[in-house]
Amino acid sequence: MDTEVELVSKCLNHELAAQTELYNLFASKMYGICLRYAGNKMEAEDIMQNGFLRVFNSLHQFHFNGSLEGWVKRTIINAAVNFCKHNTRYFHETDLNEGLAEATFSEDALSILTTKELLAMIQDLPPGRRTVFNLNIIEGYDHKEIGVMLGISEVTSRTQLHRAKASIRKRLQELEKV
Amino acid sequence: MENPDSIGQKFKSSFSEFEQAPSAHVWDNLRNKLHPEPEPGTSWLRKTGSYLFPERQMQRYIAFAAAAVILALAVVYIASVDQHEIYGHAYAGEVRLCRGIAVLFRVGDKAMPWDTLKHCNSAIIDDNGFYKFSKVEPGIYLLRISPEERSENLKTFLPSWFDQHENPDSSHTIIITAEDVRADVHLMSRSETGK
Repeated sequence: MDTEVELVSKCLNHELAAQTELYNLFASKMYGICLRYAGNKMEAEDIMQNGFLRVFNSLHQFHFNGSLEGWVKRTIINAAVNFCKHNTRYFHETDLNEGLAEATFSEDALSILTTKELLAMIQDLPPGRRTVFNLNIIEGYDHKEIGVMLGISEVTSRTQLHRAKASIRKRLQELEKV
Repeated sequence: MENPDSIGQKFKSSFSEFEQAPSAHVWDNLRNKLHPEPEPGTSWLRKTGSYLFPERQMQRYIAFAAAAVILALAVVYIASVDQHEIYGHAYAGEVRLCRGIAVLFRVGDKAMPWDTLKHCNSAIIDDNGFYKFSKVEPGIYLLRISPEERSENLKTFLPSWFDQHENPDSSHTIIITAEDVRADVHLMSRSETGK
């Protein structure tokens, strides 16, 4: 396998073999990320495709200051955020309550859930909540950063996260009853 | 009881190493966007271009320049395809006229009288009586020939319109459509016209 420098250099020369190698190197990890931001497999594939297109088209901006994987991941997340921003109406929900009173569940119900089930829970969230949940809980961005990324206020970001968690709690409670 | 941050912890730990292989068609689509399929028959050109000019910017300049040259050549070719020649010999009596001037006029009217004669071109009639007009566009033309000034022929013959006519309205027209036209022209004798 080529070193990262060689690989990037060849990709910058539009060599198909190198582009294939770079894609194969990160495809599974990045697709995992895309699935979290998407509502379904088809949306995830769209995000993946647009994300990698960005990766190849802006690879000249990667200056080896960090890992290539980290840079690719940020680019894919940006593509995902951009995808979600096209659904901005979801960031301005007016119904604040919609039956999302604090539901309670046992730790056991949560611990036995598989990644596939958790993914389904994330995908069931409305796009706005899903995006904020991903950015804050899994990626670790704070609400100020999320506000800048999504073009929303810090408060909106907090509200979206609160609602996302409330939705998940409600879902967990329902599962517990079953 | 529920741990206040248990949801966050559970999701973060579950997805920290989460991977899933995408469908093959994701890469197929992406590859097609990165390397669009060339038009049939142009792959050799593309490969040669890439080999000679690896820089993409340079390839664009070369492609643009090549396209401009091809376009210019096409314009020249199309223009030349629609142009023809009018040629022939001028006669003074039974012999070829030795030197003179042939003048070509374009007719704008659809019928006589010719109100819109427009000078189109002039050509020298050589020692052998030969004249030629090149790059003549399709249309209706009239031709007038004159012997060389102060020549012996001018004493015997009148400047004449094609063919042996004194004025343009009685002259024969030369019609150019899709072929060259040969038009041999005879001068009018002064003795015939009484001039």
